[in-house]
This record gives sequence, C-alpha cells and structure tokens, in this order.
Amino acid sequence: MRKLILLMLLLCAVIASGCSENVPPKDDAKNAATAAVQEKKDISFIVYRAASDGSEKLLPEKITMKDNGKSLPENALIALVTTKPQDAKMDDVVPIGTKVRSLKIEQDGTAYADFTRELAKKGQGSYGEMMLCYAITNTLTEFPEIKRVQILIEGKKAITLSGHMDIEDPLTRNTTLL
Amino acid sequence: MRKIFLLTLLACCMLWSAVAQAAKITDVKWGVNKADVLRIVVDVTDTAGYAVDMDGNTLNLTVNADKGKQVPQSKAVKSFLADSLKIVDKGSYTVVRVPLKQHVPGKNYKAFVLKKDPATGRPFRVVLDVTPKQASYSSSGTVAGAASTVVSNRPVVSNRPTKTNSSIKQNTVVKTNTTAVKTPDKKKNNKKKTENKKVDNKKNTVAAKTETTVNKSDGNKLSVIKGNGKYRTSGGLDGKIITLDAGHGGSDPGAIGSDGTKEKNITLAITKIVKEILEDKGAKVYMTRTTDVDVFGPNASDAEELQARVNVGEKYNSDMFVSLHINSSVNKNIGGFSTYYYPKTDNDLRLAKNIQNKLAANFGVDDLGVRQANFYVIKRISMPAVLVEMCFISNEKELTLMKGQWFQKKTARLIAEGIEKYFA
Repeated sequence: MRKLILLMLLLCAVIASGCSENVPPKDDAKNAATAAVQEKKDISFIVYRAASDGSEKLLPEKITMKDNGKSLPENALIALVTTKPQDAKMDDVVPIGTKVRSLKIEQDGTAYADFTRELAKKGQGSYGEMMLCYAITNTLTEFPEIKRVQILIEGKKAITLSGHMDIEDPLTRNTTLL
Repeated sequence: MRKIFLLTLLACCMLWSAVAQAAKITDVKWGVNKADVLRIVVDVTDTAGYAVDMDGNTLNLTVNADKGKQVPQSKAVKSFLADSLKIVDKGSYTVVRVPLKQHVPGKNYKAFVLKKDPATGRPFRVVLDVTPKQASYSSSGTVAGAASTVVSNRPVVSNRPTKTNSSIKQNTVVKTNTTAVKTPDKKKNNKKKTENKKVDNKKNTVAAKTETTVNKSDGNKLSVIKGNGKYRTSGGLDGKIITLDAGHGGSDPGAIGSDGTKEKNITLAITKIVKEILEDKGAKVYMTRTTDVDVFGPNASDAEELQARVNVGEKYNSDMFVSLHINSSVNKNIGGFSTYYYPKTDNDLRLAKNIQNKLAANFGVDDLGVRQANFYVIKRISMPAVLVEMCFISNEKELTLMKGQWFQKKTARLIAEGIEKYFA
C-alpha cells in the first residue's frame, strides 16, 4: 500500500516536472554531458605512468582539464605523451618530441594510436620500451570502449619500438603491471 | 512553494526507488580468449559489491545484486576450464557458480569491475577471469592473456586451430628441405610438445626445415624459417645445440651509456665468452652475430632484423635460444638483472629461473627477477628461449661494472652455469 502511494507520488512528480521547467529531465547522464559541453566543464581521466622505483609497475595519475571538445581517450593519450607526471613516484617514459598524430577507435574495440616517429626511438632499454607500450595501452584500455591498442608510427603498423617488444598484434591491457 | 514541495517529493521518490530497486543482474556472458582464459561478465544495473571464493573445485562469484528474471539459471560454456555455469538466486544476492574441470590456484583467477559507460551504453560489470594452469601454446598471445579475452554471447570454441597470426598471410613456400613440415595448427603443436617430452633425448636429427616468405602488415616481405620443432630439455650440456643472440648490433647500437658506451658492444663481448664456456662443456653453440653487424644486413626493417635472429635459432634446430641485452631506463637509479621469458612451452620459465637464480645469487646488484614479456625473439621462436637483461647502462655504477672484464666474465660464467643446470 505504501509503495502504491509513493508510486503515485512519483508519477505526480514526473507529470509535474513536465510542466515545470526547473525540474531536471530524467536522463541525468545525458543532461550532465550536455551541461559539460555548454559550460566548458572540467573533465578528468586516468593516465598510467611508470613507477620511478623500477618496480615494473604502472601507476595511475588523475588528470583534470578544461573540456576541449576532444574525446576522453584522445585527451588521455595526448596528456600521457605531452605532460610530465606531477608525482615524483612516477617517471615519464615517452621519448622527447613524440606527438599523437591521431586516435581511431573501431567498433570491435581496437584503438589505432598513431604517433610521430620519435616514439620508436632506438636505444631505449627493454624496460623503458615495455613500460612505454603498456603506459599507452593501459591508459587507453581504461576506457571500456577500448579493448586493445594497435600502435602506429607515422600511420604504419609498427613491429617493435626499440627492438625488444613485439607489437605487430594489438596489445591488450597488461594487468600484471598494475 | 509548490515547486519545492514537488521537488522534495521527487527526491524522496528517487531515493526510495534507489533503495528498493537494488542493483539487478541483467545478463551473464562468457568468453574465451586465445590464451584460453575464461572470462565471465555479469552485467548489473548499478554498482554492486562482489566476492570470489573457491569451494572444492567450484569457483563462486558472489554479486551483491538481484538476479534478473531474464537471466537463465545455467549456461553452457565451451572452455578447457568448465562446461557450464550456474546462476543461483540467493534472494538479496546472486552467486555465479563455475564448476572447474581442473584445479586452478588462487593466483589464476581474479575478479574486477568495469564502470558503467553512458557513452557506449554499457552497464556496470563484474568480471571474473580464470586462467588455465598451463596456458596452451599461442603464438600470438599477449603478456596479460587475461586481458585479451573477447566477450561474446556466442559460444567461442577455445581450442580450435586459429590463424597463427592474423596479420601474417602465408604467401608461397620458397624452399623446402627434405620433407616439408607445414606450419602446424595448434592442436598438432600441442601434441608435438607432448611427444617431445617422450623422445626428449632421442632427438630426430633429420632436419626438417621450411622457409616461407610472409607478407608483413607493413608491406615488407619477410623470410621465416621454421625448424623441426623439436628440442631437448635434459640430459646434460653435451651435444646440445644452443643459439646465442648478442642484442642489437651494426646500425642499431642499442642503449647508450653516459660516456658513449654502446649496448651492442657489451652484449657481443659477453656472448662470446658464454659461447666459449658452453663449447668447453660439449655444447654446439651458434651465434646470431659474431661481429658488430646487423644480423639481417644493412637497411633492415625492424621485422627483418628481429626475424633474422629467430631464423638462426630455427635453422640449426636449436634446443635453446638465449638473447643477451643490457637494460636502460630514464631513471638513473634503477639497476639489476632480470630474465624475461614468454610462456610458450613448458620450459621457458624453467630456463629463465635457472639463469636468473645464478645471477641473483652471485652478484651484489638488484635482483629484478624473472619476468614475462612480449618480446619478439623469445615469442616468435619455437624452442625454449629467454632474454637476459644484464644490468642497466643508464646506472652509472653498473655502467662502470659492465665495461670491465671481471663483470663480463662473471656474468657469462653464471649464465652458462644456469644453462648447464637447466639441462642437468
């Protein structure tokens, strides 16, 4: 009985909300998204950085920035490549000068992350190369729509970055490094 | 005033509905990836707690959510690990029971959650990954096999022979020595592995090699040699065929130290000493390079250069492939030895442990341990293989060490001892 009353109240409220413009529409998520675009709200995401103690771990860093209209995965990738970690516990393993050329996410969950040739710098040890590959992969697979990451250099599939890692096939999230 | 009243009412209603309509399970899916990892995904309308426990050989995933009416009570599964799963409604919570066909240790299963994603319309999900104790051979698997699981509502046949590599297309067989051995499918490969154990020390010396040219995804043609697929794993060092790979070389200096020391020169120096020691003990040793050159030749693509090293190991039907490298890191304080393996045979990890244990026990530098990695040469080669990272050129102390004879000889001796112990 109590349920019925409450249900009726809810119904009234919903009907009332249709007349009164001040009541937020039901679809909260959509509303929030629209509001974010309109007000240039802050957006935040996680990027993964190499732990500076050499423990072969990736540590999450939360980055908050003004919405620039780009997608969250693209912003995360650009932030990973172009910003320095804010915490001394983390290292920047991305070779200097690297830029993101594009990020394309296919329906099947494969993300094609295209970088400038600086990313495939020779002379990185296998440690640096591995942390770099998985910093990129784990940052992108943080987004549920991305399941695997194919690293491209200047638009072409890369076999390796500095001669150790095999990245011909798309990389999937590495949970042993987290 | 009326508005406020209505708003309050609305808020109350929403609160009530949130409490009363606890999270509900809308679907339970499963999938199996290339590495035979079984993934179970529980779709939930809202965030929900979860727990995993093992009861005998049944893995239970408890999700703090109601079982939706549309969710069946059981589902057939096609996996090495289980044939079915049960979804049991316990009133306020739901248990997904997975009766396992093999004993799976605790480290082989884990549960985690995936956030609700309004953009793609995906709900909150509770995920359980179960890795078989001995992951079956997969030439194109990944380091974290668990993560590559493809989840689908359709049954996925886990052990069907799949393409060896999605991006490599078999082109033409260029040259065939003796009886042609076609690239075996996975089932045959697994079978062969078992046979290998049996005939371990009665190695068939008839070399059955094939050389094929494959079109790489980057447009280059690549010559790929496949050995006879047999390797010995015991019976002492005498007569064993070992291929040693001095990392980098020629146009690729590898990592460079603060004083200009190049990785390629240190790896070659140490590799030569390892070869001498192993030959003294009766092994037949091949090197991918014996001077400062690119193994493939000048102007090689990355794929050609790395495959050329793999080809040397395959060409001689080696029992073992050991790649020697020097590490580097942006953090100058990192140092130590590490040995990498790719779990493609039953012996890769054992080899890595034998070598790493020797290095760790006899040097005063950090023991970074045995690690798994998706490295080209150890992944694409058929026999047990490791890649040893012999300290960091970026660490000043270790740079000084590695330039000296003492370090080079001692490291070489310990690696040779590790190899000897593996064959013991």
